[in-house]
Amino acid sequence: MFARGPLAALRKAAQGAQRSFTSQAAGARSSAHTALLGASVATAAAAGGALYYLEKNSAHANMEAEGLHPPNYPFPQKKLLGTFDHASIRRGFQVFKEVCAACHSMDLVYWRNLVDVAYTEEEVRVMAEEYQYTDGPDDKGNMFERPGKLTDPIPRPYPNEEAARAANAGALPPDLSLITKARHGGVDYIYALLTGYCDPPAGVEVREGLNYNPYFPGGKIAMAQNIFDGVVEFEDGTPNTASQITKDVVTFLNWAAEPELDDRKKMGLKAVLLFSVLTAVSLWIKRNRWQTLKTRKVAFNPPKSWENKPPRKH
Amino acid sequence: MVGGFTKAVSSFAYRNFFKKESTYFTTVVVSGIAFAMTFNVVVDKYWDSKTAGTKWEDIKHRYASS
Repeated sequence: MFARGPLAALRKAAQGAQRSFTSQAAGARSSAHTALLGASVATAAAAGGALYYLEKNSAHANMEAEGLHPPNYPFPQKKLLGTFDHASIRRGFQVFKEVCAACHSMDLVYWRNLVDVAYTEEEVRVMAEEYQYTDGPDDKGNMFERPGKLTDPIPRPYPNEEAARAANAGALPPDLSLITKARHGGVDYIYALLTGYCDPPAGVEVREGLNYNPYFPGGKIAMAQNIFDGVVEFEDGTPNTASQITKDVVTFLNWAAEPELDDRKKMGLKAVLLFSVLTAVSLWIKRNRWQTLKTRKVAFNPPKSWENKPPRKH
Repeated sequence: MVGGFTKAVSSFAYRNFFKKESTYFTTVVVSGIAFAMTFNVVVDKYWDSKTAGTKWEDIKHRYASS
């Protein structure tokens, strides 16, 4: 093979790669074309990678406005097929009820949502009855108070936004029903925020009424630290450190925002399994049915009389 | 071309299940139901073994009132 000329060797290589090219010049052109294409793709990929790296590792003067990026905590429900720890949801609801519900509402969660998730129906009924709800009007047209039922929502601490702001120095404690889905960073952000209170660095002024928290965009948050060691006693004997309390309440908040997570992931596994098999079967069937078309040959036998006819003038 | 045992099985299947549209349809529906039942049971068993101890069903015995 190498005894032949270099141009012939190039042609052989080009023919191997692209059967449509038949000329020597075309062969040389196509390998240069391939090299150019490869170089452009490599440059684009390298440039894209460099820009991505710079974006992720950038430093600029306004980083406090974004909030410190929270670390990656090993919540079990974050894994691809991971589900909630329901014992943690139960402890988390206790924390929410005792610590957070004083200021935060959770309008989209109803007492009945807790049944067979973290509590038995009896337990939820008893918990709901501890609260008074306004109902009515009765036959006389008056509103009346009654103990809570399963169909009632988790009670609101304030009747409306104005009352909430008045009681919290103008700041509105947000509703927590969807908070883990509503904040960039999700469960990691909420956990880091709740455990991240610290003294402001030198030179940072925090006015009266605000608290410094590096994870909060802007750095100054109206909510003070509420979770400390021992602030809640767990009935199942779990050690009540601040980090454990925070982990449980964040798991509860995640459940409140995504109660369908367990079922969704189970269905997702089934769907992926089924669709992969069906896709493979479809591809095989398609190729099987197209075989006859793709391998058919068309033979054209011109009539003998054509060979001697002169070309027609148009 | 297939031969021997494969041929016998394929011919049997074709003549008894796939040749007439009514039997073909019945075969499809029955196999679908059977597959769905087994698939669900198998995947659910696998899922339950992977999530053992974390679901409500696994902890409710601690709080059962009845």
